[in-house]
Amino acid sequence: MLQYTIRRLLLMVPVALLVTIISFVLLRLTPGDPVLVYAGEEHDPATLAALRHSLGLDRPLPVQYVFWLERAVQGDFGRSIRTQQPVLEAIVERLPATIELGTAALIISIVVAFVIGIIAALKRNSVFDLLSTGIAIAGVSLPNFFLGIALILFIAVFLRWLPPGGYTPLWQDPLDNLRHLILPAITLATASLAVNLRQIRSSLIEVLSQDYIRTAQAKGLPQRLVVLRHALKNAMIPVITVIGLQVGSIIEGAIITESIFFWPGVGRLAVDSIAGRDYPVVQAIVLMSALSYMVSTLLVDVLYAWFDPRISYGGGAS
Amino acid sequence: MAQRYLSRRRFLTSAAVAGVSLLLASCGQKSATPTTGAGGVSQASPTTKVGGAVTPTTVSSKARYGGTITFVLENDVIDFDPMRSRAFVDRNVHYQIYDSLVRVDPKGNIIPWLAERWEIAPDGKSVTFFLRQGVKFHDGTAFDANVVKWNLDRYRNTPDSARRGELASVDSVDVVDTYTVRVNLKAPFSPLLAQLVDRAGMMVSPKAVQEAGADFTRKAFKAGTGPFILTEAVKDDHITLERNPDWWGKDEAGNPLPYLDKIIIKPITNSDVRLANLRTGEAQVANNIAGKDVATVKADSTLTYQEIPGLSFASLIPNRKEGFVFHEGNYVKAVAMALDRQEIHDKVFFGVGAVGYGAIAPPHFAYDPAFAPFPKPDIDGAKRLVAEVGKGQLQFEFLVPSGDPQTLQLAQLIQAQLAKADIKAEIVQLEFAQILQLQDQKSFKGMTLVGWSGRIDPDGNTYDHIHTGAPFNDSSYSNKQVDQYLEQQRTITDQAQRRDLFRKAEQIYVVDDPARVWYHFGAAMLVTSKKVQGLQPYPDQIIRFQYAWLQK
Amino acid sequence: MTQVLSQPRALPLTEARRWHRLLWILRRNPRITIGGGIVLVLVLMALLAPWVAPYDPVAVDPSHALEGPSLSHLLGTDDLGRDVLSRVIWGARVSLSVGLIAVAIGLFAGLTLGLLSGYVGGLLDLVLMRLIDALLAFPALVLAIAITAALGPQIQNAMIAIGIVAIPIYTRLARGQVLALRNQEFVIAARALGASARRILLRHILPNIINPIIVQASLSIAFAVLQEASLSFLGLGAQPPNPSWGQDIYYSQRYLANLKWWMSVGPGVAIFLAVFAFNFLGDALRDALDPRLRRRS
Repeated sequence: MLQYTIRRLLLMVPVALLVTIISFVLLRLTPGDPVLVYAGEEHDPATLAALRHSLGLDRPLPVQYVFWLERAVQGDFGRSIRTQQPVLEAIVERLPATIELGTAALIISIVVAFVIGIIAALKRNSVFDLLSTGIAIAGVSLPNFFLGIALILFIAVFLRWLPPGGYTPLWQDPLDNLRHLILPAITLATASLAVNLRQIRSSLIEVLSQDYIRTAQAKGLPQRLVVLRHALKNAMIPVITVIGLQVGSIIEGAIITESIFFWPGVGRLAVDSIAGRDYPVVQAIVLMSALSYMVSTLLVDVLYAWFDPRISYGGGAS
Repeated sequence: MAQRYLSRRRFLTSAAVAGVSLLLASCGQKSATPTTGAGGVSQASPTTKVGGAVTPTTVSSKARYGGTITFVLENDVIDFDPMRSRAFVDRNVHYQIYDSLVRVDPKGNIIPWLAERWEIAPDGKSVTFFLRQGVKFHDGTAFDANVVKWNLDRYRNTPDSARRGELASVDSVDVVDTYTVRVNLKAPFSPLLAQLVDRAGMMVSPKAVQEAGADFTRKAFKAGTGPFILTEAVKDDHITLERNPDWWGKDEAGNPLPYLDKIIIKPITNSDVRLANLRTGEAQVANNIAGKDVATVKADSTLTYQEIPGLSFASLIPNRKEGFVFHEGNYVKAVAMALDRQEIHDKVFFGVGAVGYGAIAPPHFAYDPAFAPFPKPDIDGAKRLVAEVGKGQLQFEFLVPSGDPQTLQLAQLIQAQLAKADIKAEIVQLEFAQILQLQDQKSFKGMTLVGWSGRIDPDGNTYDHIHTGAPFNDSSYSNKQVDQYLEQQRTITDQAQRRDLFRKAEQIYVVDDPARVWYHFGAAMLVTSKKVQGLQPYPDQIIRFQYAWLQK
Repeated sequence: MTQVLSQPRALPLTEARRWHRLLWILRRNPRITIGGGIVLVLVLMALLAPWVAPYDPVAVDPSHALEGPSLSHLLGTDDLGRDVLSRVIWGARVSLSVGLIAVAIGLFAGLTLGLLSGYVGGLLDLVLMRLIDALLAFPALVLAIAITAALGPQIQNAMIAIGIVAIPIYTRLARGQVLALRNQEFVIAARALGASARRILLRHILPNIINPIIVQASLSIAFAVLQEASLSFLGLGAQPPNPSWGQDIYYSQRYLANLKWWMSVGPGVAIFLAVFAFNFLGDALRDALDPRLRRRS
C-alpha cells in the first residue's frame, strides 16, 4: 500500500508538468494579445513595446515557460497581467469563496442524495423510485446556466426572497452571507446531486441483493438495522469514489455558477482571466485544479482499498 | 450605448460610457488676445462662483447632510492611478477622489477647478495656470505648483504611462511661483484644456505615490484632493469612499460640500442584476442600464431616469489598406448607404441615444444637426455603387466582439440590412482581445464592429481615428485634405473657425471618401432612487457625487 | 461517469446472437424504448428541419420583434423578429451533430489509443497514460474553452475540443479491457496460431467492451450536448446567425427580466430534452447490459 501511494505520488509530478505544458501551449496559441487587452485604449507602439517587455512577453516561448516554471516551483506565480496583483495572492483571496460555495453545494448534494437514494433503493421500482430517478437524470440534464438564471429570475427578481447574486464575506455578516449563498449552492448542487443519487441507489441495491443481507433478514433483524449497519457500510465504497472526485473538481464545477451569480471565487477568476488572456493567472488556476483533482483521486483510491480489503494494489493496471 | 462593443466580462473600456465632453468654450473665444480675469468660465450657469464649485441649475436649500449611497458600476476599477488607467470605467471613481486642474459643467463648458483661472499666450504656445490656494491632499500634503509640475511630468515621462499620448503636445512644465504653473507646448494645441479635465490633469499626492510604490494603482488610499477619500478597495467586491471634511468646494449657499458621508461602489457586470439591485433598493445609483430596461425604470415609482445626449459613437471600421476588400471607397459608401440607421436605433438601442452619421457628437460645439447624408437606406444606390466597381457581389468578413448579446443582435441586424442590398457580411465572433490585435496589425479582412467612448473636445473623437498614421486609425485611412483640416483646427482657438474646419473635414471622411461607417451616438444616462437628490447627467456620463444628498 | 466492464467471453458474438439480444433487451426494458424514442424524434427533427420548420430561422423581421407565442408563431419571435420554433428545430442540427461527432472523435481516438497502449505496453503505455492523466486532471470546461479559443470559435473546433475532452474515458476503458484479457487463454491461443495484433484486438478484445462503450457513448453524447451549450453560451462554437440552442439562450436570456421568456425557454427545453433522452437511454442501457444488475427478482 505504501509503495503504491508513493508510486502514485511520484507519477503525479510528470502529469502535473504535462498539465502546465498543455495549458501554456494552449494559452499562447490562443489568438489575442494580452498586452493589447491590458492597454485598453492606448495604442502608442512605444508604450506597447515597453509594456510587453515589462511583462516578459517578448522573449521566446520556451524561455518564457522555463522562466515561469522556475518561479512556480518556488511558489512565485508571477503577477496578473490585468491587475498587477501577485497571482497567488489573487487566487488565495478568492479561494475561501469558492470553497464555501463548493462545500455548501456538496453538503446539500450529499444529504439530499442520501435521503432520496436510500428510500429509492429500499422501495425499488416503486413510483417514488421512478420519480426520483427521473428527477435525478433531469437534474443532470438541465444546463446549469439555465437553472441558475431561472432561479435568479423567479426567486430573486420576482419573489424577491433572496438577493440576485453577489457576496458578503462570512465573518462580516453570516446571515447575509447565507442569503447570498443559497441560490448558487442549489444550482451547483443539482448536477452532482443527480450523480450521487444514482450512485447511492445502485450500490445500495446491489449490496441489498447480496447473500449476507438476505441472511440477516432471514434471521429476523429489523429492516432499518439491516440497512444501516450492514448494507450502507459496504455500499459506501463506490459512493465515496464519486464524492471524492467531486471534491477534487470543486474549482471546475464552480466556473459557470460563479459567473452567473457574481460569486467572487476562483472559477470566475478563471473565466475572466481566459477572456483577458491573463496567462499567469490561468496557468496557476489550471495547475491548482489539476493538482487537487489528482490528490483527490489518489485519496479516493487509497480509501477504497482501505475499506475493501479485497482490493490490493500490488502490480498491474493502475 | 456601446462604443467598443465589449462583453460583459470585459473590464476595460466601458461599454456604454459616453466620453468626457466638452468644448473649449468661452475660454477660447476670449483669448484671441491675451486676457486674464475669469478666463474660461462659461456664462451658462449663473450660479458659478469664481473659486467655488459649480452647482447644478437648481439648488435645493433643503439639502441634508449625511447618509450612505450604493452605486452599481458596470465593471470593477482596474487602476486607481490616473497614470496607468486605461479603462474608461475607472474614471467613475477617479472623479470622486481626485481633482483635475479644470473640469466641465453639465453643458460641457470648461470651468475652473484646481486652477482658478488661466491665460493662453498670444502665440498659443503656452498656458499659465493660477492655482487655488489652501488646498490639501487627503494625506495632508499641500497642493501647489511644484505638485502640479511633478504630476504632469510623471504623466509625460514615465515609460508605461497611459497619458503620454494625451500630453504629447507638451514640451515642458515650469513652476513660476508657488501657485503659478506654466505649461509650454511644442505647437499651439487648442484641445489641451480638454485633456486636462480628465486623467491627464488629475493631481495625485507625491507622498502617497512614493509610499505605495508599485502597488499604488491598487491601493491609492488618501492620495487625492477630491470630495471623497478612498478608504477601501476589495477587488471584484466593493470600493468604499468617505467624505472629505476639508474639501474646498461649496454649494451656492456657501455650505461645504459634499453632503454624503459615504459611497459604496459595487461592480456588477450584468445589467439585469444591476437593475435588480436598483429595484430592490440595494443600490441607489447607476449610470448604465440596458436600453430594453429603460421603459421598466421609467415605470418604476421608486426610481428616476434622466438622459442627455452623450459623446460616444458607434461605427463599423473597414480595413482600407491596399489588398483588402474595402480599399475600394465605393464599397464603404455602399455599406453606409444600405444601413437602416433608424431601425437600428429603434430595435437595438430601444430609442436610447441618437442616429449618427459621423464622429462628432451632439454635445460637441462642432456638431451640425442638419448633417444627415444617409437619412434613409438607399438600397438601389448601394447596389449601383457595387455594380460600378464591377467585381461582382460585395462579400466581407464582419468581425464582432463576443460576449455581449446586444452586440450580437446589432451584428445580425446589420447583416440582414446589408443582405437587402445584396451585400454579404459573414459574421465572425471573436474575443475582443483578438479583434484588438487584428486591428492593431491592420490585418483584419473586412469590417469590425467597434466604436469609441468619446472625448470632450471634438478633436478627441476625430484626429486620432482619422488622421493618417494616427494611433486609432485602424482603417489605414489617409486623405491629405482631411489631414490638413484636422491639423489646422488644433492650432486655432476660435471656436467658430474650428467648427468650420471640422465640418469641412466631416463632409469628406463621411461622404466623399469615407473613413468608416458611423451609425449611432450614445446617451449619457442616470438612474437614481427617488431618495437621491442633486444629481444630473453630464455628457461624459460621470456622476458628480459631491452634489448628491439623501432625502429622508 | 463510471465505467462498466462486462464479463469476458470466450467466443465472439455472432450476428444473429447480437440481433436476438437487442430485441430481447428492447422488449424487457421500456426505459430504453422511451429514451431511444425521444432521441429518434430529435434526430429526425434535425434531419428534416427544412421541411418541418415553419419559417426560415435566419429571416429577420424587426417589425415583429419580441412577440409572444401566438398562432402564427408557436414559440413567439426573438428581438430580431425571427421565429423561435424554427430556430429550435434547426438548432437541433448543430447540437446533435456536435454531440455525435465530438463523441465519435473521442471514441475512436480514445479506443485506438487505449487498445494500442494496453497491447504494446512498455514505454509507450507509460507516456501515453501520463498524457491521458494530464487530460483528465485538466478541468474539462477550461480545456474545452481553451482549445476552442485557440483554434478559433467555429463549430468544427467545438467538436474537436469536446472530442478531445472525451478521449480519456474511452482510452481507459479500452486499455483496462486489453490488460485484463491479454493473458487469457484464448488470446494466447490466438497469438500462437499466428493471428496479427490487429485481428486479436478487433475480433477478440473489442467485442467485449461493446456494451460499456454503448452505455458510455450515450452518456457522453448527453454531456457533449451540454458542453456545446456551455461553449455557445460563452460565445465559442456555432457562429451567428445560425441557430444554436446554447447561443440562443445566451443571446436572449437578458429578456427574461422583462418577462419575455419564450426565446430562452424554447432552446432551454430542447437542450434539456436532448440531454435527458441520452442520459435516460444510457442509464437504461447500463441497467440492461450490466450482468451484475441483470439478475433481477
